[in-house]
Amino acid sequence: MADPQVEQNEDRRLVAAARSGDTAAFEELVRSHQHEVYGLAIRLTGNRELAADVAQEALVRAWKALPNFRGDSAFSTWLYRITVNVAWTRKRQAARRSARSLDEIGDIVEADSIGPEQAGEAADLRGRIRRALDQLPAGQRTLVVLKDVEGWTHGEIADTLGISVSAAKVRLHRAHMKLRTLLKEHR
Amino acid sequence: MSRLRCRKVRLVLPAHVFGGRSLSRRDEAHLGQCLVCQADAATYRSMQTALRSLHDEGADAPPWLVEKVMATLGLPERRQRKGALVAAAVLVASAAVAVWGRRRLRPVG
Repeated sequence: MADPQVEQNEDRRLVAAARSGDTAAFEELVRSHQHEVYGLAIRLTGNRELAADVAQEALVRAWKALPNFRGDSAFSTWLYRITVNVAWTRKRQAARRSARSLDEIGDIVEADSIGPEQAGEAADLRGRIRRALDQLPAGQRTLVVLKDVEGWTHGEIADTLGISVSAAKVRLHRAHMKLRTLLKEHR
Repeated sequence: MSRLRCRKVRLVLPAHVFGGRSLSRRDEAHLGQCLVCQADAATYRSMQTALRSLHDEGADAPPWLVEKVMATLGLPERRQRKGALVAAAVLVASAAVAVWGRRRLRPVG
């Protein structure tokens, strides 16, 4: 596994080059972060097609916003924040537009990501939690994914979503209780 | 078993399991005896484990993603630049071979 400090230094070097117009440096950044961005987008949206759109838009936005990136946080953190914002907006738009039900979307993710060899209790629980996540409102899903799946702090979540830390905690608490109820329904 | 205490404990269980918030002594004592609240706590723990495990399920980005991002921004992709360079090199090499071949075939004298 690569040393995170080395990776951050490499990112810093590439960001500086990309900011001065080096497109090859930006391409290198896209190549090295594309899988994490896409993975996060999939967990936030629960849909591979939508996640690909989200990842693409987030990376495009990153290039456009690069001149404003001050380097206060790691490039990856900044990029993931952009991804969260794009995912949140897209998910809400998709929920309004799409004729597909959230249940259907959940089934697609399930079929895509669970192979026969993964059958078992843990896989079953993961399947149920995914379906339950799909039924959470977009805002609650975002909170649960960022906190419990991605391991962000309340502060990072509050900062990214533009809410207070206490609001993040209260909403997360509600989301946990709702998720538990949904999980029981999926037994 | 007090139903009121059950309700109170179940309210604080998510913060206890997910946020590491400590329980009051009375709540802790209740949890130690109440099977219903214990089952609830177990559900939250399973949820926590399952959610964490979602992070480990790697997802590879679609193979076209980098190309599409660069194309959307109108930026040249390195692979394309490399391809163009290789094509140019092949062209130059073919021309050189052709010229060399013609010279060799030219009758002497």
